[in-house]
Amino acid sequence: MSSPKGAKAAASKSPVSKSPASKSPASKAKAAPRAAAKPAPAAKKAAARKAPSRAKAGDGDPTPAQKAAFLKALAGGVKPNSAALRKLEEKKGGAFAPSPPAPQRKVEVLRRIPAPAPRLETPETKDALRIAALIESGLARGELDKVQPHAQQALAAALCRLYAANHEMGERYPILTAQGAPVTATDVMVMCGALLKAVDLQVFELGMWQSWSSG
Amino acid sequence: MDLIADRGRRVTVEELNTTKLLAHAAKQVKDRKFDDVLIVDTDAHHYENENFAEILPYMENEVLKQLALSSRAKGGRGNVMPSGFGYQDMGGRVTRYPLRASEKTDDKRQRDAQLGDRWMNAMGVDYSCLFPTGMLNVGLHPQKEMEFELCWAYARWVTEKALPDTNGRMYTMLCLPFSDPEGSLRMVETFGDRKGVGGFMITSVREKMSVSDNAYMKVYRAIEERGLAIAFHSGPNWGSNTFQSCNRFLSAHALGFSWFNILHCTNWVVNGMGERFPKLPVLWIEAGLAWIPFLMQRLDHEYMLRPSECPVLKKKPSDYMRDMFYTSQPMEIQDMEALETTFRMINAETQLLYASDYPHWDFDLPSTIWDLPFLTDKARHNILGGTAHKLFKLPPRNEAQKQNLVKYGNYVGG
Amino acid sequence: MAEQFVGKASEFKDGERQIIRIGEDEIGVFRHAGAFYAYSNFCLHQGGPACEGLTIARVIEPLREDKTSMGLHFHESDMNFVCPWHGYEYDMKTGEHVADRRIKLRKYDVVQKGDEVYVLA
Repeated sequence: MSSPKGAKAAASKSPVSKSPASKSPASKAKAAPRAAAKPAPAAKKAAARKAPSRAKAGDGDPTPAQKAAFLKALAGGVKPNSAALRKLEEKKGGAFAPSPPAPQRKVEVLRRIPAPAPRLETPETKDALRIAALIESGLARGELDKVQPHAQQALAAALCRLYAANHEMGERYPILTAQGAPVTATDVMVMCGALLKAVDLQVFELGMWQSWSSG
Repeated sequence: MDLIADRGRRVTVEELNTTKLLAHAAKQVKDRKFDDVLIVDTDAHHYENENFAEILPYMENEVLKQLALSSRAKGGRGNVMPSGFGYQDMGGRVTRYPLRASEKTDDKRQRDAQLGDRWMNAMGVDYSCLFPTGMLNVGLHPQKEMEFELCWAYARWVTEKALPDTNGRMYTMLCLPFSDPEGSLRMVETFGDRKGVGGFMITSVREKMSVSDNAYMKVYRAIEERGLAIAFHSGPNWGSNTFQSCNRFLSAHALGFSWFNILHCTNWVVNGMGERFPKLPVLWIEAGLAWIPFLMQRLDHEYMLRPSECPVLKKKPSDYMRDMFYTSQPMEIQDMEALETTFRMINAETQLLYASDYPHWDFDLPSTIWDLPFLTDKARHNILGGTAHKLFKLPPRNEAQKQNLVKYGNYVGG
Repeated sequence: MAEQFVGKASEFKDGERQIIRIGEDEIGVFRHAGAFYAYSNFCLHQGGPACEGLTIARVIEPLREDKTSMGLHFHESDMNFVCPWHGYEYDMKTGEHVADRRIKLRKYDVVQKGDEVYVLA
């Protein structure tokens, strides 16, 4: 069974960011801050292979040799210094536009695309997260009876109703996240089976309901 | 408004305004002086399902009409149009899909006409051939009567309601109910002379279709006699047996478009349709270009070994293929030398027609043709609009365009 | 190169973007996970507004030792931004196309002086 946790472990082979979002302390330690202007290794390698002169990359724009090599690779056979190349340069203007003059120029804000509404940490959310953490830590210690069945029933019922009500209102979000505790397929089948049984539903009825409501 | 990205994370994007979305295309139009070039987009789309409330009442058979209308009523559970699997919008990465409903238009003209103006103006396109989207799957409908009814209703709506609202900027090639040869002929006879009809189109997404069956000869002849064109419009069908082993949409999409045109083009060529209807212009739409050199080589090779199987042919299959027309999108600009070879093999200067496919996710701007390093000016002008001007009799929209048509030998009046 | 004033960091929230024009250049300035990034807003494919579309985590398909696939997952931290025209997907930290790292948007340095954010352009 592929768990999101496994995915994380394999993914840590690739350069991991130094962003605060990165949760693993190990990957944090490994992350080397990369100078912004330094060309990517792949690009550098390609330039060294293709460029007529082994020009060293500067801090800002690519060197003319790098530009030519890049365009050649991109276009697969367009000859350097040809009219064809100039046309392509013109088209790819974003990357290869001539260096802008130094003096201060007018900065015009075309669009400001705001950050999405933040995730609200309401008091109720905090309480719910605290209870979830409590249950998780008990599970980790193998303490299965600390949260008694009647409390589990109350939690399951409330969560079921809350999720369904949001869903009905068009607020669709996954019930489990990749970052959460690893829930296995078996866990899901056991829980879903119990929920269906609790309301006297057969699996085929679930299937029928889903096919009717898919619209 | 917010779109949902990874793990339910919300990302704010602006509501859709086609003019704003395509502002960079408008800059290309200015930089390249496209106003002076007649540009005909031979394959553009709308989402006709948004207009079903207007379209379905044009169905003729009262029982089928009642079935179709009731399926759309609140609480209805029917499905009139075959639909396919897929993720055209790439999970919302191509934002004009999820944002489509957020774009504002007024009530004065058909919404599709207003949206059409916005993107045509932004891209420098003078005329567009309007095709439906969902109806490209109509050939998968198991009921030939329903296929006919849907094609008929759409043809009436598009020629009577939609096109008249576009100030002559849009034309169409009407979808034929190909499972029904008699119905197809009736369509040609009824709509062939209507304004804005440049020809007829066969949706090539069909699992079983014999383009060379004797039953269709009268249909082709009727189209040819009217000086109209016939087109095969391709598409993907992830649900077909052929693509059941594709586990990514990319695979089913990349292969599907090429495959369905390869299939029907092969049957068309091998059965000598080019010999039977030499004056009928045939267009192959939305399959890109890379499949054509493949098929030319493949068919020529087999033809030289097995000519006894196609005695109607008087020249090689590739020669017949060079007599036909191809729309450019989605043009595979990956290996420039391979592309140049493809252009040579298909006689692009006279046989290739620019197409955008807008608003679909892999649309091409006119600059994809204009900026090709190996084209002559004449080829540029021909492909972008000169050839389509001759095929569809679309008049130039200003004097500079006319002069360019004259200069490159394309002007046929208007 | 000159420092062009973009705005105040305190007013530039995480996850926010600004599209600015300096002369002929259009630049997308992102604030992502605390850091600022600035790239040309002209997509290297067909010239679309590369910085104005969806931002979305990189999709990965980890393989196990025995080469079996673990399926598709979103990367824990690597973020991309996607040109809304056709889906060209760029790495937020480098501006490289995720499928071909040689294809790279022009990157502009961003400097912060106190609360003021500047782009070098």
